[in-house]
Amino acid sequence: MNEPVLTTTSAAAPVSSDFSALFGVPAEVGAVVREFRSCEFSTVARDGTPVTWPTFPFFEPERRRFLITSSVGLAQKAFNIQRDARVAMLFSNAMGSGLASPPTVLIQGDAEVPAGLGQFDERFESMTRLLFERQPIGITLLGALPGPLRHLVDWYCWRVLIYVRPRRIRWWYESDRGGTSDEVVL
Amino acid sequence: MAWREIVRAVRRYDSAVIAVRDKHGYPVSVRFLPVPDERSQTLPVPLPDGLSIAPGPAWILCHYHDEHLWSLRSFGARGSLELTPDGWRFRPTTFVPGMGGVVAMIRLFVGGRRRARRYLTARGIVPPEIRWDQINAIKRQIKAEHAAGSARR
Repeated sequence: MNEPVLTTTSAAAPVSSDFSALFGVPAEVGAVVREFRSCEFSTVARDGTPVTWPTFPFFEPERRRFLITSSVGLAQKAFNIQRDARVAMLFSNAMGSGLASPPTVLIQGDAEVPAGLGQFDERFESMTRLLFERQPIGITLLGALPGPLRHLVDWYCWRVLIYVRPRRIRWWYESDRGGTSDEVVL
Repeated sequence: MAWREIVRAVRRYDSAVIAVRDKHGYPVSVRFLPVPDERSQTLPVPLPDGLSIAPGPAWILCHYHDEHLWSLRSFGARGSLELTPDGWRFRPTTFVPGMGGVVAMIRLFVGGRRRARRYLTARGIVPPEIRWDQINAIKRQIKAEHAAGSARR
């Protein structure tokens, strides 16, 4: 992806890392994106059916996009995106977030899958830290496998990268069910 | 039959997510309370206004994780969204197993490993070496930070 990176320099104002400030949505919406442990990620299958599975999104504020990774052994969502880039992320499961009565947030966007796999770089380190904070058991089990057995789970760690650029953000509160949502179109 | 499997599975969840497509072709998803209607073999779906949804292919997902993003379980169902005089209804056609249980775990690891090999071979990709030392170092560092935080409290 050859896109400009919003960097912080001595001559420029710092770029906000806050989702709500970046996209002009209420702070409660930003809190949902920051604190929810999972989202329901929808891609479009070959026959036009939207296929949805839970996933762990990682927001990259400096590029105003989400990063989702998927094992090369579970790459169907990447194949779907290569055919049809239109995706959606629903934040509707507050379990573990610590938020009381948060809004439901639906982000529709365009996704892309760069060639190659994720590398063990600085970004990987920050993602691993966040994942360990939020899902300590899984990563502990993987890391605790004896050396000779680790090759059996290597495939799970070889990750396809998926970038999602938000196009429309909608949100609504429990009391609005059946009513209308608020939205920002980007 | 998919209907029976879905009814049985849906009972294990408090809610479900339905995904359909809007008039621009983007997926739209909404969480709802799934109450199977045996007579029509559909699930009534209350959808908020203003989502520009039309009848068509649809999917439901039920999933659960605990506060530590663990105890994962899920299933999906392919089907269609229909507009009836009683409102929107999801008519399932195919049950799609997800996470949860030993069988699902074996299916994940055996199938995933096979598909991963195929993916890499087809693209001529040499996968990166997994830095287990780095992963375990991060783990130790976070544990130390937590321990230090607890000690301060």
